[in-house]
Amino acid sequence: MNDAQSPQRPIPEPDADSAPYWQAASEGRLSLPQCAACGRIAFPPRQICPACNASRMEWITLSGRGTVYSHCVMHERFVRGVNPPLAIGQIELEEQAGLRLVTNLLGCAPEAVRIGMPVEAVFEEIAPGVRLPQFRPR
Amino acid sequence: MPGWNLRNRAAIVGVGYTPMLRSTDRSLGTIAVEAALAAIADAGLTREDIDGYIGMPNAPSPAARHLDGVDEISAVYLAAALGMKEPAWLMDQSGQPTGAVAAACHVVASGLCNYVLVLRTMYNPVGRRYQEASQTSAGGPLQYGLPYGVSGGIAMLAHWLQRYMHDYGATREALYSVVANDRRHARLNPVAYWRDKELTLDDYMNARPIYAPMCVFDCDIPVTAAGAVIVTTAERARDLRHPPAYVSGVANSLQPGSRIFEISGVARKDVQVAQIYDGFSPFVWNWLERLGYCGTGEAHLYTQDGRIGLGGETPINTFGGQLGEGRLHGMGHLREGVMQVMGRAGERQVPGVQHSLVVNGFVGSHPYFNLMLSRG
Repeated sequence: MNDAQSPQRPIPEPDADSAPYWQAASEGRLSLPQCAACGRIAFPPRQICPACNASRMEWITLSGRGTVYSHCVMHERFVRGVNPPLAIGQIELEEQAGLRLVTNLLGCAPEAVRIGMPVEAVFEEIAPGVRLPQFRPR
Repeated sequence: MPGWNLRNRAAIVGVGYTPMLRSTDRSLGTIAVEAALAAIADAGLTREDIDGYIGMPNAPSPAARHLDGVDEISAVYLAAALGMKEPAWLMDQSGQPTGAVAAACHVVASGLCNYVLVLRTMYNPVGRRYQEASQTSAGGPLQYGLPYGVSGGIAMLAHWLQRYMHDYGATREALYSVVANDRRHARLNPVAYWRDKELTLDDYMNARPIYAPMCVFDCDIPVTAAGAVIVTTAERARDLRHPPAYVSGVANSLQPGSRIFEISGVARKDVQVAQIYDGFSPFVWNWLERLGYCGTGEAHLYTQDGRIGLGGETPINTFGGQLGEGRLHGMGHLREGVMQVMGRAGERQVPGVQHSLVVNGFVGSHPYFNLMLSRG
């Protein structure tokens, strides 16, 4: 476990696709755009549905529940301010099969992470007003 | 499904490359021009014959500064540095050299160019680690990875490997077969970075973990080097120095793995040698299954018992792969595929090569290409 990260981690730069994602995270919500036509949820966020190309995407708040699809342990520091050892998980969200995002796994020793482990979102403040979606065992 | 009207109508006729160096005081532009001149000379041509160029400039290291001539070489830089006069085709593309060769086939077959130079340079950042990311902010695709410690592709491959081991009972001991195969072949390649160094199972199992379960030897060694090939029409190819490596098929890696066999008309069993992209070791398992050399979940068994070595069923990565030679982003695979079909691979030569497969990129995630090269 390495929940004590230094304060100089790279800060995500919101763009036109992602601004609502980071805004929601700063409010403690996991949010992604869902296609109003076909119902597919897009990650990374897109303004046109990658599944059906409809252009009406609605931002929904997700439950924040998921399972570990896969995981690894970062043993060396490659990114400024991100300290090893650190568990990096690929989390499949419960709302949609194959909808996966990559975060750290907090509140659990890296070697204790297992595929299929139920997890829930938490929001880690890395700079004033900037919170990263993260996951921990539930 | 559409076919391809250019089967065996274009060919690779020359290769050039530079030594694999960890650092050098010579500029990347110099290294690029040297590889280009070597390829031109190898084909028996002169600079004046080259009227087209396709390159892959992007420096993939997270530590890259993207400075033309320093850590990247653009088409504009190369054309000027090589002194190309009025090129009819000049192009930068993303992806790997097989895709550039596929495009070059079209450029020469159309009659627009006589000889197209395809070149890849790679740069190992001096004084910095290859995967080092010192940004204070993360935009674009990096915003979803860098703040979590994900730098470059290793974590993605570690996730793939962890899941594969979980689903199919594969082990790191089994993955050693892929790395050891590369390192064994590298001993026969005079330019391979690891040509003088064995890697035992103990060395591998006790190696530094990077993104576990991936260790340092599952990752190719970053180098500063360049490789180049010349593409021309089948008619011109016949009059040049070497037996041409005809391009019998091209397939995008987003298409089904069987596509390269269908479009080339060459059955998998008739391929004598294959160069399969191995920037990270698990790629090889993934591709072997996708190409149909074995069933899903069976590659960790398939790569055992010398089956992929010289003298085996289908020798793979006979030059040592990127894990043994160095990180040339697919250009080493292309060069070796060409040398094998030309019959010029020396100690590494597989007997009677009629068809030589070259696979770049990662299945399903990048618009990279597979090539089938055939002897006339």
